[in-house]
Amino acid sequence: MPRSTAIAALEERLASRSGGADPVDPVGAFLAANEFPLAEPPLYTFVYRGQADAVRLRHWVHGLQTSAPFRRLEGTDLWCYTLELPDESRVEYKIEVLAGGRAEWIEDPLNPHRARDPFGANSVVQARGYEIPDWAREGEEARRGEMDELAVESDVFESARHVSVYRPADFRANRRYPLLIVHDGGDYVEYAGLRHVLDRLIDRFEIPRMIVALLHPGDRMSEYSADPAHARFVAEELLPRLERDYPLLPDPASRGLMGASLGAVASFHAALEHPGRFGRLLLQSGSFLFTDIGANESGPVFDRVVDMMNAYRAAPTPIAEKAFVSVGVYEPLVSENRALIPALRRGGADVRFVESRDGHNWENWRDRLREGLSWLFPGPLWMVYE
Amino acid sequence: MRVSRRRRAADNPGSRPPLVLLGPRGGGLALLDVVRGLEAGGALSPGARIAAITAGWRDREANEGLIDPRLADRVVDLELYRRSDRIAEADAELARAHREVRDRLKSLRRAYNLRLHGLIEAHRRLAELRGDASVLRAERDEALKAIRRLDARHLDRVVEIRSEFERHMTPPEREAVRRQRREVQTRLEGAEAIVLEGGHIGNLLSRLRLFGGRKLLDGRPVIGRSAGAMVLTERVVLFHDQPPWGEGHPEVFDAGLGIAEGLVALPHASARLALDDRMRGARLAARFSPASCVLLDPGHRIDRAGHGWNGGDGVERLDTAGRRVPFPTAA
Repeated sequence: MPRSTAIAALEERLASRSGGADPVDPVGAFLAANEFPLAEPPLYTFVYRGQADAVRLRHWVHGLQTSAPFRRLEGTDLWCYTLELPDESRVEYKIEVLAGGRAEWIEDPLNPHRARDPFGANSVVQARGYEIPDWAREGEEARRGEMDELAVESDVFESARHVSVYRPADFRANRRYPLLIVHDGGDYVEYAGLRHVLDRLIDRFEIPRMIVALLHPGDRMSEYSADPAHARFVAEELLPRLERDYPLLPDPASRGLMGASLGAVASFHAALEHPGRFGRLLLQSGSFLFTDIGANESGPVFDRVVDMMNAYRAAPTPIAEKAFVSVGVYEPLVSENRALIPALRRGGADVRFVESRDGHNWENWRDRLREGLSWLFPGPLWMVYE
Repeated sequence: MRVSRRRRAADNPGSRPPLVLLGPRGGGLALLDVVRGLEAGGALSPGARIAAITAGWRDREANEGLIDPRLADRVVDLELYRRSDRIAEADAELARAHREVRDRLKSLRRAYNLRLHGLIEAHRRLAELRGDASVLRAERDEALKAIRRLDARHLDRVVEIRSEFERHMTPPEREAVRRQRREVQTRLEGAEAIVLEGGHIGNLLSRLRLFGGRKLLDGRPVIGRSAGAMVLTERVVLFHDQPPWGEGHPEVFDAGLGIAEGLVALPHASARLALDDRMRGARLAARFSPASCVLLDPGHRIDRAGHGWNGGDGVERLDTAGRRVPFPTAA
């Protein structure tokens, strides 16, 4: 168990005052003097103060115990847990407090860093060397694109589907633009700042001005898990509608699909089902489950995914000219994503694969957007000298 | 009086009008400072009108807020970008031919880059190879020559393809072009100097060519900023050692207008070049030697002086050992 020097010093101070009349509250002074989690790279100490029967760190780092017990400092209501983290790590977590027979997961009251997701928010520990990318930070001005809201009639789904469409600043109807279709587009905007990121990267000439269609799924678990109906909707209903409504470049190299987790699966599947239609894939932490032997044991929702991946791995076919794949090394899907790379290459794709010291979360996906988007769709930066 | 100053310069071929190359905006050097300096030196009348070419800004062309706002009432934008759109709308045949030549140049550029990356990788690995020094030196020299030959051939081919287009389509003789050129000439009347702002080098260079190239600039003081400086040189070199999508190698893009002689202009050098990497710097300088690879950062300025250049404070070039040395080098 790694030991924090600062915690050891606090314990010494606590021990030396026992029975004495020290007017200073050492715990209060310790909390006031430090930021938390307490960083002593490579050690990071999580701290909770309060009455409890037990306190645990809850995180989703694959390879570590997802529930790690805090230790209470003797004679105090201060609980702590020290974790060793490699540089550049970024870990989302909650603190579980057990008291009076109840367990409650809370955000760390001592840590101001939060990451939001569709389920709420997590606290974040940023290890030495990790920085929120400057292009993802709030503050830097960029000319803003516009958003259109479309109702796309779908025979496949027998209903109209809501699609938001990003148009870049300085959009001109007499120009032609690349197209990117983003699964879980609303979440990408909400939790990964996609709109802001697009504005910035376009403004910096790192990606071209482009049209970005943001999908809002209906029954996500079904539609995004290699559902032929969804692939048909994307390729045969949405794409023609976008071609009709927007000035798009016609070649596959100017058309991309993007998604994270099951959204990556849906992107991969749509490209696989409609070869030659989409030349660019941005796949983040895809749930590319497969079996080398035996049956799928990850639940029926993944049956189609496993069938698809098993077939693809056995006989890869060309699905895109270029694919950018990213995954966090702290997420359980790292092996599946690593295994995808040689198959994509055997299928003829030019692949860039990036691993980060992060997990299965939106800020990890945000942090890879610049590299992925600019590699798939290089902007005019090379030509621009302002 | 304004016209007479221009005539005076044109009447005396021995005295060429001032030519000023600037780094990117910022760095405490405003366009107004440069204009005032030219006024003080007698090259411009006080309060002289100035023509601006901002085609590199593309859809933001003629955005007055982007030029020094203190010069707004003296600047007339020639609007070459917008005019080229009008030409394309009016002359579909020319527009189609232009798209075709652009596609040919794109294919050529892809092939050039493929070969270039191979040669640069070979040169890089040879530099790291250990063995008999005299043998390896000769091989490294030969690897560099191969890059220089490829650069030269690429430039020849670009010029050849463009010349074919110009011979075949004769843009200056086409009505849509002539009409826009006449309007540009009208706007130029009374302007004593021309400012070329930066931006997208391909768009800027192609619009300049469509509107007469160096003839458009003849006889007037010219101030070129960033990409506007690059187009004035003999050879336009694109560069960014660490673009967000990975590593990049400097590449020859096209011939420039050839007004600024003896140098390769490298704006945003500190941001775009790995200047601490001596081997990269040395290779870049050696590729284009005897031309000087001049590092133009914000606030930098160089002025033509006879057949050479006067460098402003802090202006440097790369030497063939990859070191940053003052530009121009003191005699």
